[in-house]
Amino acid sequence: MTPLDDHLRTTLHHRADGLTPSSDPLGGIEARARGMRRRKVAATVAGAALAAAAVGFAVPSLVGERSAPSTRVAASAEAQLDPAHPWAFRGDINGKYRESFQAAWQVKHPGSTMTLLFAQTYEPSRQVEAVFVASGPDGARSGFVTLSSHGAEFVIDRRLEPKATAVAVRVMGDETARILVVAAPSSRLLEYADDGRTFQALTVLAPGVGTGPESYGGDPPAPTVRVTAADGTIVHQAPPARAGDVEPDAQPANLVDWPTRGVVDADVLLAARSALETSLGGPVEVKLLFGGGTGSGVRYVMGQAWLRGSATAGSFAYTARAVDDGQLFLGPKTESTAVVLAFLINSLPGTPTDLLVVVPAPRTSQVLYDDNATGTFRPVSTDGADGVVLIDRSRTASADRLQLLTGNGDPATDVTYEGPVAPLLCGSKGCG
Amino acid sequence: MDDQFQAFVVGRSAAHLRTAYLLTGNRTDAEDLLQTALAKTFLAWDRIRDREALDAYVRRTMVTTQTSFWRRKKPEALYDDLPDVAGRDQHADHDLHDALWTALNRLSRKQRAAVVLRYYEDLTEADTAAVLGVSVGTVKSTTSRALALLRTDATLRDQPSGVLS
Repeated sequence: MTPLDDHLRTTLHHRADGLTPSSDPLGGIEARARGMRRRKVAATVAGAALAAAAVGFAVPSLVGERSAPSTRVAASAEAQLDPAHPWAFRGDINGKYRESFQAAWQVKHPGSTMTLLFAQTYEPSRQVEAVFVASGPDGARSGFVTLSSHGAEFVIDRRLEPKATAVAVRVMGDETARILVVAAPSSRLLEYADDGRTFQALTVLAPGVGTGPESYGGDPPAPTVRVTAADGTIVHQAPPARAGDVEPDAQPANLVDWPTRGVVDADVLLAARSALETSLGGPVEVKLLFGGGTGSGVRYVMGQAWLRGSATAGSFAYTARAVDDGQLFLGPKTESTAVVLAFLINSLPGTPTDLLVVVPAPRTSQVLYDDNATGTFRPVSTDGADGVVLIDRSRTASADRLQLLTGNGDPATDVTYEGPVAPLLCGSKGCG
Repeated sequence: MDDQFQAFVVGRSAAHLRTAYLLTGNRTDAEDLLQTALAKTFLAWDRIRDREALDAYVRRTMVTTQTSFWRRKKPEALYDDLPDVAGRDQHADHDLHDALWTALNRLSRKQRAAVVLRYYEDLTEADTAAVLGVSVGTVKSTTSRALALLRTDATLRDQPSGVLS
């Protein structure tokens, strides 16, 4: 037994053993259990009913598939999704969560009107999530939004195709990815096939809303969602949208599929977009990856940006000390498989160092820093923004290095990046 | 609510709250985590035939829930600097223990869970593996990595040499 073992035991017992017990240990357990049971029973009963309906409908469904392999067959107006007059809301959501989604949407798409089609609290993580449709200056859009402790996160936000008949998304579940489909409330059948052919009924969460696992083994070869309308016609047959889908068309292939992390300031985002358009010489699209601020009042956003219609995106960061005092950094053109992006905030007032902002891929479990290439990496604490780390970096640093680990953090098998910081700070207009 | 279940909660919730506190680092999340675990236990009550294994069931549910992909860390500092401890340690080592607690909070959730199960619950590597749902080898490597990170953590660098060797 080592001294560290002893100190660990002492520390853990010291911290825990004096904890005062809860005054009402039974309080809330039954109510929480009832909520869990209610959701489970509702899904099971509805799923069984739908499975019965699927058997009764098997023959016309197969005929329709053979004679009409296209994704949409004569969808009636009732089956179509009009973003200006969308289907009725289904599901359940607390009013304050709805307001959070609306507020975040206004930051992302000013002037646009978003309508929730379906919302639920996903068990067992108890994540509040919703499927939405929107209309406004940015056109018709649809997608999937979750509420994390950082606020609303638009995991999927993409252009809605004209005469769409479903919003189908592929999102992360507790153990495996899952499919969530929202169609017209009158829909007769919602199905999914991971091979594009062997369709199975999804579990019904509400009229016209279904869900199910994406696949139990490996990447599905041809994930396909199928919706059959009340009159028996197949009105939708297409792959579900995935996280990272920014637009259904003309999106650069090198976008990373990371969520937006941190807290994004709407004014800084607008200023960044303006600076990007000036620098790149035309209208730009932005995939936002991170936003935050320092205690000294510097605010920043980071992401990938591209000229509209361009096939390649570059990384960027924008830091602002005041409304009219911003600095744009155009970073390297990263691959979609990138494991880390970084930028530097120079000359923070009152500090002898710069601030290195490291944005690792979401799966990263540890970030370690070696400040002068000694070969000794030290763990860096996160700033609480889902793995993004801030490092005080010497202004004369030139040989400092980063190491990123995933999974259990075994340096023998779990290193995703180990290398110098400097190349991460080199962009289209120099380094630093 | 079943009398036996009530008796179990009343009798054991204080102990499980302590483990939940060490897994989460703060009391609010600890109570939330424990309540979730007990609600799941309540739902499974009729299926749990071995009542001797109830503690293990609750412990495993807490660890699984806490290390779940979706249970994300909140942006604000979650870890209590000063927990609800009656009579704070006045011993000369308290600075070291504070630093160690801070360093523990920087471990990944799975690393932290392994440390808590091995060093607080005093579970064997095999029992820890069963709770975490991983192999004994993974418990060894996870714990070893966690200890290595603690030794090199910035908050512990200033400790006298030999203290953490």
